Amino acid sequence: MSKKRSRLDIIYTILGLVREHNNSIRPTPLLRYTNISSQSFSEYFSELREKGFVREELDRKGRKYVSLTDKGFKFLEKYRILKGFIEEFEL
Amino acid sequence: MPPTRMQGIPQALPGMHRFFQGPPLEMLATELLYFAVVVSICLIIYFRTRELYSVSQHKGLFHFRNVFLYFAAAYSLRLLQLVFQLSSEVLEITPWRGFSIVLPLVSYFSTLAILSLPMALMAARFKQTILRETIALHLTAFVSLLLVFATGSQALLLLIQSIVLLASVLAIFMAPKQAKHKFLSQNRVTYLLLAAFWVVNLLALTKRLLPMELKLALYPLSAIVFVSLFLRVRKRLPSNVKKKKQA
Repeated sequence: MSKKRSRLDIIYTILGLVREHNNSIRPTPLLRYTNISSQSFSEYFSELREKGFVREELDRKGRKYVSLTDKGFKFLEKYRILKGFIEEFEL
Repeated sequence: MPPTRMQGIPQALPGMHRFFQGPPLEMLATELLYFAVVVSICLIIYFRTRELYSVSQHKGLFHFRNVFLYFAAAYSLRLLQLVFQLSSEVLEITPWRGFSIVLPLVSYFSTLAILSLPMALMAARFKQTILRETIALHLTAFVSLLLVFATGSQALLLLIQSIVLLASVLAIFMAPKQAKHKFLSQNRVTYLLLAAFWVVNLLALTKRLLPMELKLALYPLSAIVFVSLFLRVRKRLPSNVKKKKQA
């Protein structure tokens, strides 16, 4: 049985998915790939937007796309160190 | 007759001779050394974890860093209070009335530091925003400041901090543990020691209830807790992890 993902793991998954899709993905497939409930996803997504990790952009047809900000890329770079730190000190 | 240590001290400074009799000066040197070690470690931890926090905006990390910022302020103000007490006793001068704010400020930062310890462990599980949690902590600390300010009592400061410590100890051990950590993990014991040493340190303010011999034993122990925590933090910082990988 797979272990329950931590909050930090879910954030990493969401941001990682955006990066894997050439830094541009629509919210619905992002929700599907993330594999969490839509309510949880909207909570995580709002938090990531408020903290400035992701931004929403509109294409010419007015469709919403999600992309990473510089802060989002930095988070992905430092994820392992951050996870190690947070686990070490039980934060 | 052999010369005494008091010879040569101008008579124009009444009470000054007591400065040269030993204990107060030794006490001040011990306090200064202890202050320098603890406060510098606290500030180094606070500033060197800034990058990790700015990258993650993690709530637990926010409170963890603040523990050290508040402890740095509390230890600095404690030293200031001790210097005022010593100078008023040794030099027999009445301290400026404005100094009466120092003790309530010690209470304020002390409450913040002790309460931030369990917050660091639990905050990630709370749904409250950082702002709300911070306001709640500051309001609690402000109540302790008002109580100490109104009474000016060092005994009350000690009582309040003991109650805050007790509440924190309960919260630290009730905080949900992560799978890989034991109930009595190294972290929880360290957090407990940080808070406990601080409250015992406050005894030094309350009319010197703490004998010099006990201080000499207590201060190195307390400094060891801070140093060991600093070494663990240092090992986990991005700059050190990168160096290890390169090696």
